Amino acid sequence: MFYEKKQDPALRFGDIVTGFILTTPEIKTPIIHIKDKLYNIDVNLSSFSVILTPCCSIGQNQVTLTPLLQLNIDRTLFRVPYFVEDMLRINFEVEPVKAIPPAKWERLEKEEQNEIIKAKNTFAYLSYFIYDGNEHLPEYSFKIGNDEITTNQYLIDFRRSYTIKCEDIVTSKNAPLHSKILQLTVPIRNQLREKISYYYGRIPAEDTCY
Amino acid sequence: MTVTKKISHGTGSHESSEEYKIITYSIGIYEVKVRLTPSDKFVGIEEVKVNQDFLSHKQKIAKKGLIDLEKYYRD
Repeated sequence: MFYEKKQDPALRFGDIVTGFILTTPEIKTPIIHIKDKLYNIDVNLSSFSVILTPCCSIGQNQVTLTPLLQLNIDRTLFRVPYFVEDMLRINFEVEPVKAIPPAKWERLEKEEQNEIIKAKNTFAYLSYFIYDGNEHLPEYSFKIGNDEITTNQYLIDFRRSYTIKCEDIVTSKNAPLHSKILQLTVPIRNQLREKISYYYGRIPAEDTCY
Repeated sequence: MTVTKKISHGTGSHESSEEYKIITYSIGIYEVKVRLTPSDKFVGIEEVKVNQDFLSHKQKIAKKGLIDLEKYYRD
């Protein structure tokens, strides 16, 4: 089960909430000198956002969120038959050989193909987590090639997280609970925690000597 | 539980060849490989190792042999 039937009276990590504005500052280049002071701030009232603050840290009049996005924001998702069958597979580690678009696989050298076949299970689309459909989430349609796809699954992108100050968020329980739409079940919340931990915990090659 | 069959040949003037099997048991966070005779008589412990599934996030990330899939999604 993806969403809890009975929600906790508290804001939780992974909750879908509504009513929080989404701000996206945009600059051409870092503003070091006063003459470079060109910037835009996009402000939207996002229909739905997901809480990324860990449960124990929700409070002190602020919360970290990321917007719920439609799947067609990244059309490459639909090049992998294994994910088209079940998008929720993106949320956990999979056999690498199943996660590669067939068109790309055919162009790989035999040696690289063998390396992939022998490799350990790993996460695909590292910055994404898929949210399953639910009656509270509106359906939408889009075309991929000649196929018309209608879904109410959404995704979040860890790269798009932002922090918002909200006077009403005092603790996770003393918070605007009327903004809460859906709560993940414990196993799914664990999946989200595992994937986002992996996303932030990757060690780049240049740091591995420490 | 997995079973592997091996043939062991001793050294020295009294060579003896004996067939044995190796069975892997999961015990807590460990995987224990136990050597048994074909008639299931205990011979010894072949290997004890940590079950990879019990590794912490940090340990899992640090393990080698992972493929970076992201490059296959870029045009």
